[in-house]
Amino acid sequence: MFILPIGILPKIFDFKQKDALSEWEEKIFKGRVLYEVRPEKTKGYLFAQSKEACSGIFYKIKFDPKKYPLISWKWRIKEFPKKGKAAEGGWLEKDDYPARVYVIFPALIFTNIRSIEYVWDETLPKDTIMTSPYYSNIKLIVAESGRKNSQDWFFVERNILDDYAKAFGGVPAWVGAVAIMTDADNSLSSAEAEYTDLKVGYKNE
Amino acid sequence: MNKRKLVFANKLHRQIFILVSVAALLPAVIASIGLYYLIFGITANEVAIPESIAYNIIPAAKKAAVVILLVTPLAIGVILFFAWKISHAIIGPFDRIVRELDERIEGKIIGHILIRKSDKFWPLVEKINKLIDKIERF
Repeated sequence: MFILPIGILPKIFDFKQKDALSEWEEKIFKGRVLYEVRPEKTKGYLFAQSKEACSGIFYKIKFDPKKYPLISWKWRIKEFPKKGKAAEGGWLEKDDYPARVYVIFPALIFTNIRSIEYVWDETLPKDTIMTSPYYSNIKLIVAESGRKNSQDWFFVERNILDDYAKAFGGVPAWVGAVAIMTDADNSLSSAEAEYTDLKVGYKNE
Repeated sequence: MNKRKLVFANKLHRQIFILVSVAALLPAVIASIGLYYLIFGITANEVAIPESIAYNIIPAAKKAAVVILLVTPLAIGVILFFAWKISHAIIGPFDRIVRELDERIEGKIIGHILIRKSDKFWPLVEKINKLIDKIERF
């Protein structure tokens, strides 16, 4: 049950201010991932570093994805988790991604909560849709694939409505939160990623 | 005397029992379901990230549901027992008053209806006895 005020849209997180994460909340699963805002003269970004840890940060924002279906961000990967032997293991062992951006769809009955996680995966092709090993109501969509130059920013723009329809079928009622996570707990390795210009809740004019 | 007669003295007894049972059970069920979803819904709202909900909240909610399911038959039993006791406490003296009145109407007995002062129907019996006195004077 999400009771949230409707935010001013679009909401842009450019991470130019040192206190840019003051309105974000943290959820620790297994060890704490370092999330640090690094403001620069022209561009700020969020640095995330996981050392065998898994924690995420989330920002509650309510909007109707039917009116504002787009979300975009830029990201780059500094270090991929070394899945190694874990990759030979089960689904759960492979569930480490250097970067994830969540769109969370709350429900009146909490067990019906759904989410789409846009992940950067080393091997799987772009637009692959998977079901989370933790919960069938979580769908992972590969938004970026392969190892790429860690100095370049890669822009991603996704249509939440289209992705929801492909992942779950149907239309979501509303979006309740967005989240960011970098994790390397299952592979017992480390991961580093950087995020910037996260823009939530807009449409193509 | 059939089994139903053993449980309920008459139709009114059964009706009062149903009324008391529903009056106790309905709010209890609504409150339980409401509280269950309120507690876990608010917690899920605070946690927000679905993995965490799946990992922490849903197992806790399942355990709570199992406990509720185990306790529910006992709670229903207790509610029904007390509903029967309450309905019996009402219908017992009521039946006795009706029986005593019948006997007086048929002329088998004369005089006051005797009932304990602590009885819930005492004010009614007091008035009936006054009425009996008036009738006897005529």
